[in-house]
Amino acid sequence: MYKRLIYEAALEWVPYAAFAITVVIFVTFVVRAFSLRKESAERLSRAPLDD
Amino acid sequence: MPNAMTTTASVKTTIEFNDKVVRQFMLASIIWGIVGMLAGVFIASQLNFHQLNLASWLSFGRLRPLHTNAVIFAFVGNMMFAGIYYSTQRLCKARMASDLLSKIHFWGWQLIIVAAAITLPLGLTRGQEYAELIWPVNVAVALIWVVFAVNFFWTLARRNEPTLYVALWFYIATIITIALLYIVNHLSIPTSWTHSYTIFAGVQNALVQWWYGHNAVAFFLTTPILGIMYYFLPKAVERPVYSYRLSIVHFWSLVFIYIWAGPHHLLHTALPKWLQLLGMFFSLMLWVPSWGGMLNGLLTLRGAWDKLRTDPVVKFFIAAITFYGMATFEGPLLSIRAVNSLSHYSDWTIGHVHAGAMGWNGFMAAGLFYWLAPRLYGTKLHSLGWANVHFWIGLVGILIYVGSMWVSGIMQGLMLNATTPDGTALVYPNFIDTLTSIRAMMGFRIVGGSLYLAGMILMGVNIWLTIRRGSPVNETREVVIERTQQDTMGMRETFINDPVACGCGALLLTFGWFFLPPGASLVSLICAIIFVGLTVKRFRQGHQTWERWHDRLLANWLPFTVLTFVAVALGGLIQIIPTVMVNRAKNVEDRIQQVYTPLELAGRDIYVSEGCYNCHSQMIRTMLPDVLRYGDYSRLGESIYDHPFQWGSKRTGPDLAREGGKYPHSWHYDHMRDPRLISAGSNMPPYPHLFTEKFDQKTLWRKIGVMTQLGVPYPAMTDTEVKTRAIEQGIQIAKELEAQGRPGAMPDTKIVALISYLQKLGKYDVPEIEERARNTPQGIPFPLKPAVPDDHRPSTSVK
Repeated sequence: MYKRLIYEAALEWVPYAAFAITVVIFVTFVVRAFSLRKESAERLSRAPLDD
Repeated sequence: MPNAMTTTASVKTTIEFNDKVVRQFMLASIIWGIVGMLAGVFIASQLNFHQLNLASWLSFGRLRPLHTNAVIFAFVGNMMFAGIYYSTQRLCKARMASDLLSKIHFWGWQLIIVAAAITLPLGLTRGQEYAELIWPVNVAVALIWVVFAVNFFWTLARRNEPTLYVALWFYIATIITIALLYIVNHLSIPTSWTHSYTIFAGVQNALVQWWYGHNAVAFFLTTPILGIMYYFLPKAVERPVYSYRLSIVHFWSLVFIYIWAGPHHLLHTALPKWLQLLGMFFSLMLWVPSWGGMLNGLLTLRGAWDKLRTDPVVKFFIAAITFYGMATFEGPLLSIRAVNSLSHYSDWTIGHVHAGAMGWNGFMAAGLFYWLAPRLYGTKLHSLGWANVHFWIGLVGILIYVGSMWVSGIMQGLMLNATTPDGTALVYPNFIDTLTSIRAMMGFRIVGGSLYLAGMILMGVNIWLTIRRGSPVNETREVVIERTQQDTMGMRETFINDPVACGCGALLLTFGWFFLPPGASLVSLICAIIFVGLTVKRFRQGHQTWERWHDRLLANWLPFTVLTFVAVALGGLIQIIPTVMVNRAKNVEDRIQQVYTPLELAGRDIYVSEGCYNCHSQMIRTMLPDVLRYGDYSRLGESIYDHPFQWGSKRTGPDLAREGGKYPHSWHYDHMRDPRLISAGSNMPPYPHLFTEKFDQKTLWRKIGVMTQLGVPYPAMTDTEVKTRAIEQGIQIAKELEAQGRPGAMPDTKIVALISYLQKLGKYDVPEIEERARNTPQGIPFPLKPAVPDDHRPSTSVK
């Protein structure tokens, strides 16, 4: 596996790996962001204006 | 001093913010910005008028790093610190933890800039873009960065506000990632007080350098400025950020994905292809978070678009965010291999980075300073009209600059890549023709840059007059301290639990799948899948408490910082570790570079010192036009002993990877004395000082010792032997020069050392397989040789 990783073009799996990592990150944080309570999001978003 | 007043539930206290350090950083940014941009206009003029290379310390190759370092680290760096110090104190409702550390940070950073401004024109450089500063300055940068980090995190720990606003996350990511990038990329072994060799060589060096270089853009020029955007834009338009949820997605996706994209600077090179592909794909994915952030910024103006007409601060901010969107669209576009084959090494890239630096960073800085100055000095801005004039001449300047660079880059790229219909010869074999064709665009570059610089000077005057009509003000504020609400999440609770343990196990087993031999790798893969299942199971079992884990994490700076560090470290390490472990001379079965002789090594140091890499690449890409023009494509092993690598990123002149043996010594001798004698129309500076200055013999032995330490297979030599070999080779070259009609060359001069290096370029030990292939009949295209090489630089000396 390791040698293949280094010496082969790896065209057949690198795009999938990159896409999978990105999707996992996006989905995870979209879910987390949208599960943030509304009042928390509003309070946080006003932080710069609370001066 | 805080004035404490106790109540039954909490403590009220009055805080005076440390705004002095904000004022200092703001003024430093404006001054250094003007200096850096003046250097930019000057070197742009040198590209048109070679006569402006007035002295060795004023030559293009030495001043270009001064320009880039001044704009990045002095202008944007000081601006970023001003914004961070101002907003962090307000968001934390706390004065910076230590006035002393703030003071050390400010003065230390300015001393570093002064050191850079002295050493770079003297030719003291590490020879890597944006990482040119010599090692004692690198150490100072690391120490001052630690001072900044301690001051920042100490302030977070003492804050009087339970939550961490998104701007602070971006600052955290900046601080830890820049520390990581800077330290790794600057790992070097000194050979003297002013010189060192990077521990990485060739392809390893290229990968680490562009991991650093790309992420310096990401985490020095982007994340802190995004933090500034998320704080100052809502203040300027007096409404909260459009979507706080979107800012969460923006932050995490940017931090996780950006770090992988570095290899897009090395497409079509000898870098292993899987890395090139990773760099390209992650760059494309970056469109999503970048545009999410841009839209979040632009939509913050909802219901207040009228301010765009009346308030120059809002004008600058919105134009800056628009440039952020444009630059982050263009970046992924340029990372597509097909596009990159046209754009790379051309002015298109220069246009792209200036859209980012002048449009995004420069305009954010202007908006920030016009907003800050009246508040920091308790008065009104001297002239709103001047600020508006600054905006328009700056905008026109950027558009002229970027537009001309696009045209120049695309035109030269098309000309350099153009082949005859049968694909066997170049349409424009003479490099100079392609350079001559873009001269007009180079002229527009000066116009655009000058307009932008004029705007900066106008801002400097406007702010100076604002300062004169006011007086320094340190804002005070009454805050309620309720310390029990914050930082309740310990490291143990955060990271030592079942799902995290199972997740780490899965990750380790995945590495096992990569590294272990065939049978064991399969077992490791199966175990990794089982551990992923266990992670999900444990995650779901603890759902009630786990659900709030992320929400709480966002208000706890230490675990948040650790998680951010893991995110950025993972992407870098997965790319770098295999390359550093495997791409070594002993593992390479293809061509291996021949080791430099002592004189050639001295010549190479001169090449690096003069900044030749700013205009010449040493990497023939795996592209037909490159091969037709310069010769057989560059192999990974052909720079395996190069500390530092010199693949370059821009071709103002031709590639030099196979320059060795192409011309006689006399050609190089004449060319260095006056390039236009050899190539009519060239804009290369002359190097008369090389003919009188002696090359460094004193530290040569030490340099070879360090090279040996780094794995370059030099035979054991004493100091005397090193010097003797260098001088003997010098004498030989001087004799050959005399035979070619150039008498009087001294064997210990820099020109002789440089010629010896240039004649070594492209020399390699031929592997057995290639030796056999060389005996194959005519018609088999291996090794491929240029039908019409880049030999159209006529010289009277070439016989």
